Amino acid sequence: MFVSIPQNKPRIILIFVAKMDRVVRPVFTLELNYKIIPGLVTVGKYDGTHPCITAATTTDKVLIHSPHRRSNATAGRVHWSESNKEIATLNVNQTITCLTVGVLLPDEDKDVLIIGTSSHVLAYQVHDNKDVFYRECADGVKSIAVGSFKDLKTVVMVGGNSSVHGYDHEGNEIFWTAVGDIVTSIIFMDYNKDGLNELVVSSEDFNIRIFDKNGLLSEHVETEVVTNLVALPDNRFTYSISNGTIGVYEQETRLWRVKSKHFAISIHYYDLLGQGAPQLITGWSNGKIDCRSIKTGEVLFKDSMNCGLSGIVEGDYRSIGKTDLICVSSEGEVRGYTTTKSLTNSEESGADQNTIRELLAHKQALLMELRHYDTNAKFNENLFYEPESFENGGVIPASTRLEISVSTNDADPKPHVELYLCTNNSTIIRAAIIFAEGIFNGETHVVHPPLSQLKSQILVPLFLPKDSPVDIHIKVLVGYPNSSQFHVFEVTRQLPRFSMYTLKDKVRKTSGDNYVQFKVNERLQRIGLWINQNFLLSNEIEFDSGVNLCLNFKCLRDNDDMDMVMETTGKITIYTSNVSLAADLVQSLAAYLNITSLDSKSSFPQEEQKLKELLIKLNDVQETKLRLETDVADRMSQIRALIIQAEDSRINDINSLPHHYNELMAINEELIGGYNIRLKNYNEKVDTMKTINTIIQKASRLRVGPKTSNMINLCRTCINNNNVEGLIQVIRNGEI
Amino acid sequence: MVTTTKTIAELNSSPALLVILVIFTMDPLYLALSLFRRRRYDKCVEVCTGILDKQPLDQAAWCLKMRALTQKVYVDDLENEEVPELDFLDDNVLATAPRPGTSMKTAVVPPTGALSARPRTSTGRPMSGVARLGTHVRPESALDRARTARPLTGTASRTVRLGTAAMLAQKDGPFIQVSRLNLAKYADDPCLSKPLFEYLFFCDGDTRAAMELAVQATQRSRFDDWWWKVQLARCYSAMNLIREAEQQLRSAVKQHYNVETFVRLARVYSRVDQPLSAIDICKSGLEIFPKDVTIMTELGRLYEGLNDTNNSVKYHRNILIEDAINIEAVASLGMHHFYNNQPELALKYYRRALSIGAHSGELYNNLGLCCLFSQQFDFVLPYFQRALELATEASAKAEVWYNLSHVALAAGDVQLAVQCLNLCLSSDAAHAPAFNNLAVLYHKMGKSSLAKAYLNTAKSLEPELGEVQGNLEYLQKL
Repeated sequence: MFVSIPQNKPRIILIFVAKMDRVVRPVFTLELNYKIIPGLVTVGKYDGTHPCITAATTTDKVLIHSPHRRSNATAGRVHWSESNKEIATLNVNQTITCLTVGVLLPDEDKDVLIIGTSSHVLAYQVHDNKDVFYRECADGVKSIAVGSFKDLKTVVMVGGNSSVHGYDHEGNEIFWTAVGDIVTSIIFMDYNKDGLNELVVSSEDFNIRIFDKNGLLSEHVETEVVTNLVALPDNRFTYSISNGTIGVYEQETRLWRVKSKHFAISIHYYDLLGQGAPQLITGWSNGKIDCRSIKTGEVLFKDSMNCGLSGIVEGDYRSIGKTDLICVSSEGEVRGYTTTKSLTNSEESGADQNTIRELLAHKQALLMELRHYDTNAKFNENLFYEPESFENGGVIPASTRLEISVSTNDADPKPHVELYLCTNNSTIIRAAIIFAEGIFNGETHVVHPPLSQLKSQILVPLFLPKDSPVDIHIKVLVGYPNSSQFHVFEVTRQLPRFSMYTLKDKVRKTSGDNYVQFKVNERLQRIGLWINQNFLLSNEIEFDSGVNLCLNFKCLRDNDDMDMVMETTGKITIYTSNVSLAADLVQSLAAYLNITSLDSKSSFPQEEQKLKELLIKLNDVQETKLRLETDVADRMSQIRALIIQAEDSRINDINSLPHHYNELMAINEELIGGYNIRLKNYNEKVDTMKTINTIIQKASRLRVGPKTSNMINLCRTCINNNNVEGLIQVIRNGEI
Repeated sequence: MVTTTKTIAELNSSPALLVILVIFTMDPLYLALSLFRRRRYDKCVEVCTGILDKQPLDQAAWCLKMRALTQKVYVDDLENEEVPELDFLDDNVLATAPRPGTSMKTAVVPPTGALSARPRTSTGRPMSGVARLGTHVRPESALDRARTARPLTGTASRTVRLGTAAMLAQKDGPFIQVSRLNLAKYADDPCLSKPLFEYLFFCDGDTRAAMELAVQATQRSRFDDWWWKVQLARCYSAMNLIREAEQQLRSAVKQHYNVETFVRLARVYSRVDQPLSAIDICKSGLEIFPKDVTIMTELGRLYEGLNDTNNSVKYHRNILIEDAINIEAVASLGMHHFYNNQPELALKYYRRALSIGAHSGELYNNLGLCCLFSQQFDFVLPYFQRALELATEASAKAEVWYNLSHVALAAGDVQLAVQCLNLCLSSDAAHAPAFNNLAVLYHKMGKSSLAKAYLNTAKSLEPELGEVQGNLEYLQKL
């Protein structure tokens, strides 16, 4: 069995790139002379027509570059110096976490600038120097999106540390949902081609969640923190991951992904090469800009800036009626690109190129195969006479097969999932390369026993950190101990979602006060099928007859028990103390059985107790916060008075000057101390809110469909009214 | 004050003969109440102190004493609020370079002509009809001001003022030891908490304690008492926590419409230099309280700050329809007409101000100027005479002399004009227009180098004065 050597594609692409490189040149460049925070760049039409680059500077200011401002700028006291005549700044005085623009006000076409800081969100009309709204977001602001969702026409979605809030143009909260972890990005897009916007949220727990009007619609799990999401045309969206990966999804399927050692800062789509359809433009942390095909991820054009990218935006910056692609670097350099016209007619030549490349590659592959056959034939002739050289040469019997099996091993002190590889003859396994997402540090794991211990079989323990289905791609190097060349066997296996649970031998009585209970109208046989598909069982479960089906599982991670009792009436009870496991099971079962709406009753006394304590703590923390804030304000006024006194004494009484300044220093130290206390208080608050929201989110996943969003809304009302008992009721029953 | 009503009831039910006796030894609390109602606060405090000496736990007397002390030093802090730009160390203003016409700093300047447009004050602000806090403050960066030793912050100066007022009221030690007060206890009592708050805020000048009381009281009232919210906002803006004040006021407006809330909210936006937002707030307030003088005054001032004369005059006229003796409106309209080439009309308004009872050097000065330009020469000098007699402050005196120089010029007496200008400079050595005018006169006399020196002085004093710049350029060309 021969495996063809990878085709020599990349080199040919490079030649292609070099050709492109000559063609696309920036149409304008300019310097902002401010350092820009990566990712915080946007462009807005604040007067309704002229675009202005808006970016956050490293000094907590928002910079607005408006080259189209009419030159009556000498009014009043404001000085527009020659160097920055086109730049105005906004004082924000808080750490800026995100910047967005959007048409927010009804009956207006002017863009509203929305600034997110660590604790507040400010919607501001730049053109009129007016606040639209300013409100506190106790949960922090990590990401903002403006768009239409559900029946709401325009809504400002604010992603915080563990939740997403939606505000209308007056700053009233009109939407709320809990997300398990810090929200990193939010977009609105039509995910399932139903003509309505869905909300796509990525969070630091590696997840991309898609919400529709009924609640959670779908979920993608990535290998690392998803940092950025961008909606693309044709119901696609692209994402970037903190390990340098970018990729494109079309609904459930991932079209492609590539990994780089740098991080993608900003992604945009724009028809740079005049192909009639937009390409994906990515700005990287090392200053590289590349342009890829949305469908395949193939690099079509590359450019590089002198320092890391801060953002890529699009706007009609030359007032020619057509938008340009604008790249802003972290040092404030701005480059504008536009669609290259000369390339529009080169499409045919591009097609030619493609054909030639494909044919070349095909030819190479065929040549390679031919060569292998030649050598093989030669060896087979000599087989009789020189068995020694046969082994050294690395040729193995044609009948060699690789066997593979996956099972659970709970006898080991550290229980794990076991991958067993073995050949069917005397050949040995030199090494195994296992490629899988989210199991190892990095993505690949290589097992290579020392030369002395080479055998024809190999055992690889796998520790799965999460309950999600994993595709493992295994490459096994098979040969003889003395071989210098090995044969590569490629195998792909899918691990079931709940691989880390093993069936217990002894059947015991199931009980416990931690459980979730629901009813499905399905035969137990089908549920048995689901279990066989999603668990790693040595023997398939078959349900023949009886009142109910009782299964006792053990978790390989922490030896916890998980019991499932399924009655013929369709009532299913899952006993486990792990809420998220219960939620995963419910979601998986519902997806398997195509259930669109499911309500359940749950009881998790420990979580409920925890929730009670957290809510009390939250109240305390909030009260303390108010007091601390006034403390600071009070000290500030003392400082003001002291500075005046000090300044006065500078003129009148120089001897008391040191006295005042000493006092000032003391207050300053107090302020710093106060700051540290406040910081601790803030962190405590954020943690508490996060834990509360995580519990709510898990509980919401115990239900499916409209019941979820209903339950989340009830939870929010309860939290706003500080109704602890009500909240627990909602979590138990899904309703008050 | 439950006890009060009780006392009155007893009095009414007692026989008529006894009344004389009662007056003789009148119930001290009743006496105190009566004194309070007659605004004889000092006496009232004395009587209350007497009661409290005998019964230290008499809440009614304690409350009344607080009220009396507060009333004594009560200031309308809405009128006297310090100006936004005064605060350094904080950058509450969002936009550093807003579009012209959307900020007080970048108000659109009309083209200047002789009398066709209002001159700006020496601080670069549009001239206003009356001098208010803030009309004389330079809208410049706080750091520039920090070089001088004059008071820099609104917060500090206000608290200092209120603090001294409190000290005047108490001879032997403070009436209430704020630090010993159990604020939580008083926050529970709706009858006591409000007077106590006002006492703490106005009389004691202890914004911090007042705020703590307000915070607790709002919590006790389950966040549905708009009054407390407004008071909280008051404390917040005194502590320069403007955005917090905004939040409180916004939620107060949702609960209850009150003129004060609207005006305070507008002030908040003025402080973050968003006059258009402030105007929006005032207009929505005006929809609920049509023709309210306080809100219209605020609007008039805002438009004035934005150099929007038409709107400003419109609101001032409306104010006069509602309130015919509103001095600010009268003076603003007078000034508008004066700079609109209608000195006769201006004269009417200023005379009206005089008949209402305003009696100041500035008013006589303006009357004199109006007479001069409306050709009523026989009145000019007498008015200025009065103005000089009444102007006690150096700067006012300087202005009168400066205007007198115009009278001299109108009479063709250059020598007298020079003298007047010199007198003006002797009162206020930093009067740039005077330096400019002197320079022009010296140039006319043929002393060009002296003129240049004067112009340079004027320029260093007030770099953005257009006339100086023009004159310098003219001299350079010669």
